[in-house]
Amino acid sequence: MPPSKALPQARQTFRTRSDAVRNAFLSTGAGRACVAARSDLIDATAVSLWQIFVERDEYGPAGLTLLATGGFGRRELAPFSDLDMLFLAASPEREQKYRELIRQLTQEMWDLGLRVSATTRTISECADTSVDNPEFAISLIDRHYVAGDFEMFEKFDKQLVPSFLKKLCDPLIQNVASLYRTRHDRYGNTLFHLEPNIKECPGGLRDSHVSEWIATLLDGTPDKEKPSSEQQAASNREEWQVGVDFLLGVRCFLHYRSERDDNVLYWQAQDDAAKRGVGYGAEMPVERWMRHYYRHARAIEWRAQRAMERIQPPQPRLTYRLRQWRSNSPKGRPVALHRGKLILADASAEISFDAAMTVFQRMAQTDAQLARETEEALSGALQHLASQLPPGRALWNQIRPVLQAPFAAQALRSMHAFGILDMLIPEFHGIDALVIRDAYHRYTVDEHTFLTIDHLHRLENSDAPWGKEFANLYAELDRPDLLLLSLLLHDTGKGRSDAAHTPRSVAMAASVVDRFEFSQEERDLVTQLISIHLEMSAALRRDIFDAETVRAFAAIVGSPEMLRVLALLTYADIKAVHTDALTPWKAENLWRLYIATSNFLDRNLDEVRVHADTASTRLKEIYAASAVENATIDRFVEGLPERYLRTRSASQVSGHARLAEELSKHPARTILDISDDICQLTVLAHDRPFLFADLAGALSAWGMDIVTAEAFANLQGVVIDTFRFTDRYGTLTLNPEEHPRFKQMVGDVVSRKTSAEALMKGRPSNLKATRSGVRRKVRASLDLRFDDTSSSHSTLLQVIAPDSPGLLHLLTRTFAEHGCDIGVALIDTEGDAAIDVFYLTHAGAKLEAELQATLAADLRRLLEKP
Amino acid sequence: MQKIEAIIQPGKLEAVKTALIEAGIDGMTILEARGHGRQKGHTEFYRGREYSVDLLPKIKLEVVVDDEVLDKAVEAILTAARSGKIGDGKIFISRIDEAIRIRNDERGPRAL
Repeated sequence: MPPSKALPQARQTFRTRSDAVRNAFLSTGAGRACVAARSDLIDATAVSLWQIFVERDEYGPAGLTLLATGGFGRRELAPFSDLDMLFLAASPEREQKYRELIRQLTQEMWDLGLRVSATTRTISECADTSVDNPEFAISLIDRHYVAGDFEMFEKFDKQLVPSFLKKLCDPLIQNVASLYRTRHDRYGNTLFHLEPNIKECPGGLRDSHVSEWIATLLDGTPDKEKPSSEQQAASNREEWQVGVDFLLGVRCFLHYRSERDDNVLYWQAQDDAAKRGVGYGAEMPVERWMRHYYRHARAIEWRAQRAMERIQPPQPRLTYRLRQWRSNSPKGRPVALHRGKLILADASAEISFDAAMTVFQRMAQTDAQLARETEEALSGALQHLASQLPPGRALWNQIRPVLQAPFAAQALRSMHAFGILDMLIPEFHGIDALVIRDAYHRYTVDEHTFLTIDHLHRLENSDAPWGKEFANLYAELDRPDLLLLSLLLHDTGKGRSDAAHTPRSVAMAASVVDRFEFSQEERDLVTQLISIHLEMSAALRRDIFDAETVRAFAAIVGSPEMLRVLALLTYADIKAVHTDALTPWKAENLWRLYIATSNFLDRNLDEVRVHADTASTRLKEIYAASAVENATIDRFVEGLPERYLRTRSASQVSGHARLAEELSKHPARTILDISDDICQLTVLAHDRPFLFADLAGALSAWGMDIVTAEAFANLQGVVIDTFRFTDRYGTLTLNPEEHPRFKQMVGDVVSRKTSAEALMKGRPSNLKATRSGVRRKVRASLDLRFDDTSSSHSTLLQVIAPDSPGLLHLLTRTFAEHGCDIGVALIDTEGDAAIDVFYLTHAGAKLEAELQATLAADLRRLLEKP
Repeated sequence: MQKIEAIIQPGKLEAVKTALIEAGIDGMTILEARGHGRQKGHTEFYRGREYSVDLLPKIKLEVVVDDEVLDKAVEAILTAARSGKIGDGKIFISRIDEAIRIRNDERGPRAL
């Protein structure tokens, strides 16, 4: 047939068949069939054009052949994908002879609307180019014959390509790995994007190519073509294959929908895909359809990760590794780390709950990956593990080490993938791969949650603007585990509520912490933090330099402890929205709001006092939870700073109220809580001069390092002094029999039967540690700052001084010697610096300027002496 | 066509956006900014460290509008952003010669 007739016919045939492929896909939704049919169509079209422009015989001419490479070479050609074609010439002369005809052929393909990416090379150029151009070499991994000299193709296909792929294996593998890592970095190393690119994102089609390329380069055969000896491996491969088929269907759908090479699953496309049931053939809710997407993407990413691990240096056989572990590990240890992989001591037995949790705890500590055998042991063990779930606090004690370790997020993701996180905390299941659409979030709710935890752990090494400030704040927390648990649960309500999610999250968190048998204080911190977790973000949208904004926000937060955890939660929450969400502008505003509110809470403490007759909501909660009469509570709380109520649980307040009633018979009542980390002493007594100083001195004399302290007084003159201290020498922690003697000593100091000064003199001379027990080369310098404006009743004195034994006693004794009463004391430590705020009065009024000067001079003389 | 550049308090952004949308203007660009005019910064102390605030956080909002709706847009911003205090911000207006919609090459007010 002459070209004048053959060409219009070829064009018509292409359009007709192209429409048929499209219609077949639209009616069946079968992606695999579509990309194969599309590939066959392009093959046929290319052959027709070859016969028109190059050689009437499709197997000629000698010395020139046309190959399909890349996606076309794999026979996975999506409707609007680029076509990679290689015109292979036996010699430069053959290339020269057919150059114009090849140009005409490719021009015609462009005119048909096909995006052809054509290359012409001689055989020797292919080998040379592959050295400098790894992408070209990689594209040759997937190839098939289209037209031309078949014998030459056979030689190229069976001998030359395998030969230079083998020769270039190492650089090609490195190139594949480098492209993989760069691509995953670009997408934040997570597949859980709200609007994923189904080709490029982790878990996308490109990942499926990576696992096949690595298998071909290392073994000479794509993974999918290898026989599978293990049931688990066969199951994983099947999951992978189903996932790839699903993504191919989605890609065809996206291409036809937008009439271009568009691979992003935007929200509207998700709606349309779910409505058409792409990949499933039946309409389904979009949330469910997206969960299917993430499940398939997870299977594809998992296989790519396993392939990437093969690039690591070869590892000894498992039997050798176990022998090596057994010889190096303590007896009975269920898990060992070997060459970056976590292996089980006995992979053949059913994994125990303790062993499973040890695996994840080690993973969180080391960022190690699971060995394949460990993964297999965990897969399918869910029911068995569920039967061994420990009750209450014991369960929390298994989860806490995971949360607190530096690579917690990675371990949690892994636990989630195996269904173990949902088993431990079923409330988490509702946000599994959950898509919540808004203009800001980039990740699914579960992934966002893991990222918040990751951002907190990365604070220590953060070079982000203001990161150091938040890192210091994080280091100050007594219970970072409660903040981390709050982050894990803060959005769980999104899975159960169409409206505001916070109340649902609070209810679910309450249910979790009750199961973990949390104390009332622990429970309050978690639930209250979650209940206000959006408040700081909301305050940032107001004028943060307006005193009223700060006052209103401080009223919501209530206490510096809550402010600290809220600021950190907000930092992590914003940062986990997407990579650019926490701009330097926002980070600075967040920090400034934090310090403004912190200062407000410290400086306005005695302005807001409790008046029982107004019966605040908090007071009503205390009445409800207390066995003590309301009148007793009223008498006790009258005149206390509101902060006291905010920072104590209802049971603590009622307990203190009851003890205060007993002061008519005893000089002091004490509560001593001993723990390995921080001990706490609460003393209730009638106020007297030097009382706080004497108590601080007595603690110091017993070798206790005071870390924080608070002193509050009510209208009746009853003081509640709370000291939190470390027991460096284990006097109390190791010797329970010392507790009564210690409490007796406190009572004697209060009643002045024993002098704190005398105790101090008898103190061993080697007690030189600071409050925190830390000594640093750089010492904080002394800073005294009086403030007469923040409080209407008192003068505030902020003392920042190098921490030293007995410092608090020295400060407070000096105040007393000048006739100053301490209304409130807030004692804190940061590194080697003592940071203390005192609300002082003299004869019931603020300190005169002259007294301030004398007091400052005396303090300087005492604190600056060598 | 005119370009309106408004420097406003961050806390007024939502109100200004709403007012502009009600005025029929739904395209705008928002930039996080810092600066000060007559409203000067201040210093805050935290744990012995001094944090000076020389430049205060602001939002810069840019809108290009047809000449006919300029007054309406400016009025919407003025009303929504005003608190009467120092620091409410400024509005700058300048001429725009051409606007082009990249997607389809539409030009002039139709491209807004």
